[in-house]
Amino acid sequence: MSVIQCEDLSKSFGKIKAIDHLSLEIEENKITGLIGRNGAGKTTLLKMIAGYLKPTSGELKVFSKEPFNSLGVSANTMFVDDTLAFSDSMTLVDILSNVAPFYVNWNSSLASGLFDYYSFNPNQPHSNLSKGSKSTFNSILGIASRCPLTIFDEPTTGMDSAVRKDFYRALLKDYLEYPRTIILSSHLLSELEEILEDILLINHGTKHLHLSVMELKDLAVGIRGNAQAMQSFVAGKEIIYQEDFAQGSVYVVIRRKLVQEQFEQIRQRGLEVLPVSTDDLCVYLTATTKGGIDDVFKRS
Amino acid sequence: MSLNEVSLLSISLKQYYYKLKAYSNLFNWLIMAQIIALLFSLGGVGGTGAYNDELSVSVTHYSANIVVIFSFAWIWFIAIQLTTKQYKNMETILVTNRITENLSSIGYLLTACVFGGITSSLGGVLLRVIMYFTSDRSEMVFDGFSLAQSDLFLGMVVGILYMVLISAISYLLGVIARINMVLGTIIIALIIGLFRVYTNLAQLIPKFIAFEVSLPLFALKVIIISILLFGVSILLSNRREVSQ
Repeated sequence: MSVIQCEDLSKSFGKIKAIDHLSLEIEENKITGLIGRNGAGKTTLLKMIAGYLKPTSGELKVFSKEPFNSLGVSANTMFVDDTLAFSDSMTLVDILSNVAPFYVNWNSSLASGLFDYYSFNPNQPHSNLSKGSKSTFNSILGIASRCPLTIFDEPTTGMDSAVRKDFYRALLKDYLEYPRTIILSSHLLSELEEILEDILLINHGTKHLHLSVMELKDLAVGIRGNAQAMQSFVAGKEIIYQEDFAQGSVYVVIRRKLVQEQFEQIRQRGLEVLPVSTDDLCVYLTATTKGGIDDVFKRS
Repeated sequence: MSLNEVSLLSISLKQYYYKLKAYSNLFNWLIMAQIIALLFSLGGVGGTGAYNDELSVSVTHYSANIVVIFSFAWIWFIAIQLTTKQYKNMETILVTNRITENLSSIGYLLTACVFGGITSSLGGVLLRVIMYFTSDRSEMVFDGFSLAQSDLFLGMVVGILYMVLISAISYLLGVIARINMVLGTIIIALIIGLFRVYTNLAQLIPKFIAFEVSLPLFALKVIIISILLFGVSILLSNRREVSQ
C-alpha cells in the first residue's frame, strides 16, 4: 500500500514554480531519503505532504486523503524541521509532556530516555537552546511520536557528527521496533544511505530519480585515465559528469548499463574503473553543467 | 499500520489545555498591567476643591476604572498576539487544522476574559481596602465605599462581556492583518472614516451596546456579535496555508 501518492503535482509561489508536475508514490513502512540541491523544492513538497501548503494543481493523497488542512492526516503525520517553535512558558520537560497527549503512539519512556542520553537541562526553555541542540530536541519529538508518517526536513542542521550518528542509530532502532513510513530530507546522503531504503532525487521541482539505495549505487561507474583513450571509448555515450585533471588525465562518470560488458575493454585501454558514491552521483545528476564549478574558472 | 482517528472536538480541547499552559505568560502581563493601574489609581483620578475665607475643602476621587481599562487593553493585545506568526508557529507541532486552532484560541481568549473580568472587578475592592488602611479615615467619605455583592457581581459580568467583545474584534482584525496587512489597515481606516462622516452611525453602536440597561439583553447582544465576529475569523482563516 502506498502512503503518499501524488500525480502531476504543482505548486507555485507567484511566478516561481517550486514543484513542477511531480508524480510519485511512497510505499508504507519505508525509509525514504529526499535528496535535492538547494531550492529543488524539497521543503515545499514535504510541507504539502504534511498539509501545511495547498497544491496549486494536481493530486496529492496522503493515507488516501487530501492532506491540506486535514485533521485526520495531521493526527498521523509528524513534521519536524528547524522552525518548530515553543512558548517560553514551557520548559523542555513541559514540552514533552504537553505534546505527548496529541500523539496516540507516543512513547514517553523512549522520549525521556533520549532526553537523558543527550543530557538536556529539563528546566531550560526551547528558545535558549543552541541550533544543534534544538535539532536534537526536535528529533526526539519526531522519533517518540511514532507517527505512521514521520517527516524530517533537514533534521541534522547544526548537529555535530557524534549526535548525527546517534540520531541515525536511534531512528533506525526505533523504526525496526515500530515500523513506519519515514521521509528524511538531507544534504548528507553519504551519512544517511546506511539507513535509507529508497532515494528520491528531485531537481527543479520534478522527480529525477526514485530508486532503492542499492540500485542507485549500481547506477553509474567512474572511469579514470588518459584523455585520448577515454575520448575514443566514451564517444557517442551519454556522460553524466566529466572532470579534467592535470597531465591529460580525465575522470568520467557514465551509466553502468552503457559499459556493462565492456569492462575488459576498458582495462585494456589502460583506464581505471571506480565506484561512484551515491552522494557524488546525486550532485552530478542534478548539476547544470557537465564540468561542475571548474567550468566557471575555465572561462575566465 | 493502523491509522488513528481523531475528533475535532477532542483535539480542540487538547489544544486548549496546551495553550493554557503554553501561553500562561500572557496572564502574567495582565497581573502586571493591573498592578500598574492600581498604583496609578492610588493617586486619585480627579479632585475638586472649594474655599472661602474661613474654610477650604478639597476632594479627591478614587476609582479603579484604570484597572478595568488596562485589562481591556490587555485582552485587545493578547487577541492580536494569538493571530501573529510567532504564536501560529507554536501550533505546528500539534495535531491540528485551522478550525481546531481557532476554536482552541477562542477558548483560551474566553478564559482570559473571565479571568480578566473577575480580577479587574476585584481590583476595585483591593483599592478600597488599601485606601481604608492607608488614609485618614476621618477624612473619608464613605458614600459608595462599601460595594454590594450584587454590584460586584454585575461589574464582573459586564467586564467579562466587554472583554469578550473586545477580544472578538481584535482577533478578527488580527486574522485580517495576517491575510493582508494592507487590507487590515484599509479596513480600520474605512471604519474610522465612516464613523467620522456618519456621526449618527458612530453614536448608534455605543447606543446599541453600551446604553443597554438590561443585563440579559446586553449579554445577548454581546454574545451574538462576538459569535458573528469569531465566526468570520474562522471562515477567513480556514483555508489559509501555514506559513513559517
